[in-house]
Amino acid sequence: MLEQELIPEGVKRCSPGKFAAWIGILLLFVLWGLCAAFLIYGFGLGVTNLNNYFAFGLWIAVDLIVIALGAGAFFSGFLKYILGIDELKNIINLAVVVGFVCYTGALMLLAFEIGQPLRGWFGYWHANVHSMLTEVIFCITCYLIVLCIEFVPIILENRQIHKKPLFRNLAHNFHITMPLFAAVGTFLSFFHQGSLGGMFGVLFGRPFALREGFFIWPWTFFLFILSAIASGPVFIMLISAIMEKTSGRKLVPFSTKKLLGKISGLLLCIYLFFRILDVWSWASGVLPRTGFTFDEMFNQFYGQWLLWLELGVGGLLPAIILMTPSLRARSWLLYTAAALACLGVVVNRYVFAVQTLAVPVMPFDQWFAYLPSWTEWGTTFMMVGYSALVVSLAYRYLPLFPRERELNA
Amino acid sequence: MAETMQIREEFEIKWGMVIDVDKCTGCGACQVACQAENNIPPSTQSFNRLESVHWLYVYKLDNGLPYPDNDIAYLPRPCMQCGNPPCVTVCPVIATTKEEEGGIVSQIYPRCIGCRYCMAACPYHSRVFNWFDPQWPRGMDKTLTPYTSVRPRGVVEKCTFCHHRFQLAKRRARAEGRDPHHLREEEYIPACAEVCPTGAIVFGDLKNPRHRVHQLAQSEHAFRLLERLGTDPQVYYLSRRSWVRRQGDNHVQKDQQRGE
Amino acid sequence: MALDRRGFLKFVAGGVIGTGLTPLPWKVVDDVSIWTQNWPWIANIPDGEIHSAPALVKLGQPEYGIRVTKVEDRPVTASGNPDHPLSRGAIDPLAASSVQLLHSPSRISQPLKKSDGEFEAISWEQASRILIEKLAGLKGQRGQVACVSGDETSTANEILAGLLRGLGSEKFFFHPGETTLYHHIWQKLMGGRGHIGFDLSGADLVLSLGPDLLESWGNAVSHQRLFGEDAFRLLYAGPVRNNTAAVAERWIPVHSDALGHLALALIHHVLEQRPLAGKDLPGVNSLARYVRRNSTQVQAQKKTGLSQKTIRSLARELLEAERPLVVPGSLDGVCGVSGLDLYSGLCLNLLLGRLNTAGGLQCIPEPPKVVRDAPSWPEMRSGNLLAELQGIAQGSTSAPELLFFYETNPMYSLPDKELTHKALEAVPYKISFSQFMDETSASCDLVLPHHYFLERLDDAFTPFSSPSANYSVAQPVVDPVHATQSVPDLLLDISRELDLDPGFASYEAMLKEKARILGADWKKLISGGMWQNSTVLSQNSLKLWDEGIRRMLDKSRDSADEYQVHLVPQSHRKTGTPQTAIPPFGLKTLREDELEGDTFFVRLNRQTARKNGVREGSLVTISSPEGSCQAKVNLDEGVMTDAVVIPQGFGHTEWDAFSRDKGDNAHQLLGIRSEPGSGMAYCPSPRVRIDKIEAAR
Repeated sequence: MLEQELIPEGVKRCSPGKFAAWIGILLLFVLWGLCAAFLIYGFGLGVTNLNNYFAFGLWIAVDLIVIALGAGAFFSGFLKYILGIDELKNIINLAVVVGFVCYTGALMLLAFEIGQPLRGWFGYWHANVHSMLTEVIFCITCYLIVLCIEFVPIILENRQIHKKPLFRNLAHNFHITMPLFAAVGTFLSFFHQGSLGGMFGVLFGRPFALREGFFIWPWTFFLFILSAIASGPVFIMLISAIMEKTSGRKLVPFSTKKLLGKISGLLLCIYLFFRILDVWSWASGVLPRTGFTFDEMFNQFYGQWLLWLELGVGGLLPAIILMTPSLRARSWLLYTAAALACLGVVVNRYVFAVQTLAVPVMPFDQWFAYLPSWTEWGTTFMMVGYSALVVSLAYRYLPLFPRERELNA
Repeated sequence: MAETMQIREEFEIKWGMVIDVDKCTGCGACQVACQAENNIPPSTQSFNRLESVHWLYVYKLDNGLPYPDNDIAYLPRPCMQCGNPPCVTVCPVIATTKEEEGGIVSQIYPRCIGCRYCMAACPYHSRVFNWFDPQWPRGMDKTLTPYTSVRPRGVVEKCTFCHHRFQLAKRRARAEGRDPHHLREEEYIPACAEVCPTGAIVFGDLKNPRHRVHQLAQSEHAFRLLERLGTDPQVYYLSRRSWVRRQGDNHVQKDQQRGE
Repeated sequence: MALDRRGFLKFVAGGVIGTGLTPLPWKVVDDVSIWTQNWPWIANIPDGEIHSAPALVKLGQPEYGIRVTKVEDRPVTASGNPDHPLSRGAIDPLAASSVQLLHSPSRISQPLKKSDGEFEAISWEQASRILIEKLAGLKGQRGQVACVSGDETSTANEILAGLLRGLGSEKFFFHPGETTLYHHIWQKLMGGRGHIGFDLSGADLVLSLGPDLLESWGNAVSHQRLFGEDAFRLLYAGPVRNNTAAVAERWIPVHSDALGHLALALIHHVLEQRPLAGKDLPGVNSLARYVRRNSTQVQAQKKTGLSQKTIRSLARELLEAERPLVVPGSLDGVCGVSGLDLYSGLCLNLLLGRLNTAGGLQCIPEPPKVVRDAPSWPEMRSGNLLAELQGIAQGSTSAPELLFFYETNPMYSLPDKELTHKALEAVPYKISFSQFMDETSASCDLVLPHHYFLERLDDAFTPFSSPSANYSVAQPVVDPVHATQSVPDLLLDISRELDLDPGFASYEAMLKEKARILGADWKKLISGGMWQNSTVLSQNSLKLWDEGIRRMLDKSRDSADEYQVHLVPQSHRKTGTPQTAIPPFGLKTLREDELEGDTFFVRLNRQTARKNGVREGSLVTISSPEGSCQAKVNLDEGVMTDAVVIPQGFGHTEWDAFSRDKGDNAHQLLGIRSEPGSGMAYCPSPRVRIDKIEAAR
């Protein structure tokens, strides 16, 4: 069968040679990661810059980030299938693929992160019901299964596979049940997005992260959910814009993009309200109670500039742009705001994962700084390369974008 | 505070330490004894709190004043065996528990998956990770004790108040027909307390009036590290110097000089 | 059914689902997690019966009893021996590491002979042959065989010194240390008899003039035990807030070259407030006149920086105490104290009436000699190694043909590297009995490794600073790990071969004889007990004054020093003694501000740093007339201004990865001086220069 025949009908794709070259570049990142993996599994995690003070580093921060940004998958599904916002069908397939690579990528990094990966399954068998991390493990696993189920029909719609009646029927049935999976996905995502925040909010030994809350859930539980759903949709939108720029083809109608922008903008405003309230209540409640001042939570490297970056450049600024229709209408402003909103989440997750551990708690302890090693970057870029690989293959061989044909006519 | 995430259990026995900071000369015998007793591997690098495998660490405290008003103190820091341990609730695989009579927070090496969440939770840096496999120079592995396993890379470890000595003491008591839950003070002593030349480290059952720690922990000079966080440590410190006691916790009023 | 693609896929899918329903995959996954506990490269621990045996620490001073826990026949840990009176259950970090040192990578596993600059392994028969031939060739020639011993308390010294005497040589030297300096001042200069011991347990106020009593001076663990029991109030006078000063009631900051003057000023105040003090001591009036006339207190004030009021009230404290005890000595427990410091400190005790009373100085008799033809112990102690080496280096003394090194590492631990190395290298044939490939062994022509202390029978008579005469013996705790031998027994055999019969068949027989003479119970000794006796020697030839003393006091007031900063050497047990290097577990106790990578730290306060243009973390060279060291700066406000603290125990060039090339050797900054008046050779803490090498990070 010709490679040509795998490509969806009626759309153009670049030559196989060019594609192979692109894949080749992505494989280089994968190779970088494999070299790092060899060292990590061969010698131990000491080949990274993680240490006794920074038990969490780049990998945990990236895991938090990709899961937050990958929230676009469940939330778009929720908006389309539960709230019935039909316009989102233009981007829902991409959302599923992005969600899939984000979650599988996160698990890939976890395979390096834990010291005894062969015992990883203990989280299921010897679960600790009191731990937020247990909740995360179960929910993410279940949600990954949901994502796979949501991905399957997209794969089945490949031109050649779709020819077989069995697969065509299968795909059709999946589509019918999709709202159920979207609902399940929403439920699961609510909990693991929240529990990832809860993981840090419960650390009563770390005043930087500690939060009061509601029953067993610290406020970070809800803040992480809000920031995830605020940035997830625009992340998907941004990916689609990047794919359009690199392929030279229109994939998603601008109206859909603007809609996602508006949804994100609104959620970002709600999130920021609570986040600012949270910072104030933490600074005036948790900190004095544990004997700290606001200034003591920061040093030169982990400075207050991170907080202003998160709230201002990564929060208020994109919120304003995304909430203003005239600004939203300009594509470059829309994309910039999307990127800034994602940046806000990146900073927020980084700060919770890493700065929490940098702040000395014992009065005679000291600050240390952490920068990831090439082995950590390598594995992270391997994940990025893998993600781009899957998205590229999906874009090339699967009908991801229902409006692509008409947009490029 | 996220109150409901606490796990509190009241035990009949509460193993604890009272460390007299005014008696600690910083010699380091406790650290050496701990390493030998618990099969902690030696290293050709000096101490580096970011990388070294260590259970007990002696901090050097300073009152922050210039010469000649400067004063220093040495503070040995084992695991606090918190009454409300931040690490126990967060472990996803129940590799650390506080369920045994006596209240020692356990660390179960074959169960630990090395996620290091407990290390993130502990404000005392009592927990360390095996970033590499342990190495002993040829022949020196003959000095490994049978008290505790050799930990491979990828698992977390910490001070256990020499729990194996507790087991041995209980076994001895049972063999002699005595109640293993009512041990005499000298029957169970961790290695660090045993070797301390000045006797700065005192160990015993905080709830037993016949053990010295019971009285010492109630002294007006006694303090615990980071009490305000609510960890309820089972390690107490003693110092007649108020600047040392002040460094046991964080205080918002920084208008006073640290040295008093 | 033909196996087409569809059939194959069905088969695979069926197989996967079917296998998933069996226990197989789940069992494998579970097993895999068990494998993760049992990788073959993770050390296994053989189990066995746990028991303990007594031992006697012999890793340099101090010697005291410990217990070694064994699993079957393997020693695993060392801890204190509550039944041994010198330690009463205490143990220091070096002794606590001693079991691991047994297996140190730097252990010498069999005799070595140097040919063409490289060591080759030889057998014990060959090694003994070589030794006997060499010694036979030198027998009868005066002073051709010499010996340096670092073990001051062992009966093995009698064998060595006796062998030397039999070969016609009196050149037996103990490695310079506190004992030799005290011996010189107390016995030679002041006419005293016996060893000075310190009864800290009986004192109620202890003033240390320099010695790091609770860390590295004398029987530090015993001092720590007593301190922990609140036996006495402790005051520390010295240039740095060391481990003793960290817990002392008060730190009195005084530069090391001013401690003797402080003692003289205290003598002045004591005499003022108690004019009849020491009235029966010969020479006390001359001393009193001297301190009155020479404005000692003004001198002291100038040199110490302490006000007259402070010094006077310190004197009053001493007088108001019932049983005060003043302890003069070196800062690092080696050889940095001057005769003036010792003399004035001892006199202060005498004037306070602290001689041969409870809680004071104890004049302890020397051990009985069992080798008939060996020199007496005072004779053995009178050898002056530093003066001898100076003579050889300057050409005024001829170097011996052959030199033994027993339990000592002078190529590392002697001052003035240039001079001492030159002198030692002038000896044509050098033999080491060391258990470790240390700097001295590496420079020798023949190495005959002794058993490690856990592998041998050995003894210790009255380690320095002991409060009374005592005797301890320990049996081996473990069979020799390497092909080493008991050197005292070897030397007995060799003596017999050379027709110099020492009179004993074995070392054990010698020790048994010593015990018999003392009236000690051998069985109790070898099970970790200790013989002690509180007999003290009366002093009938003691003098507090003579011409030499006057010259010593006069000359001490001159201080012409090229460099500005006082060097303060500081010893810690965790970095070993002059004989041992950093033990494996000791290295990990060195904090980040003590050793970073391979660079160690010197400590000075901010004012000193500013004066010398350096900051925290600056890389600097510390230079004295004799040598230089490289280090990083650590700012420490517990150091006097114009002083820099340098830790001992670093800068090894041999040994193993736990010690080699870490930091620099502080001994090379020390020079040898001959003190006018006392004639004592010692290595005072010099003044140094601090030069920045590069900017701080």
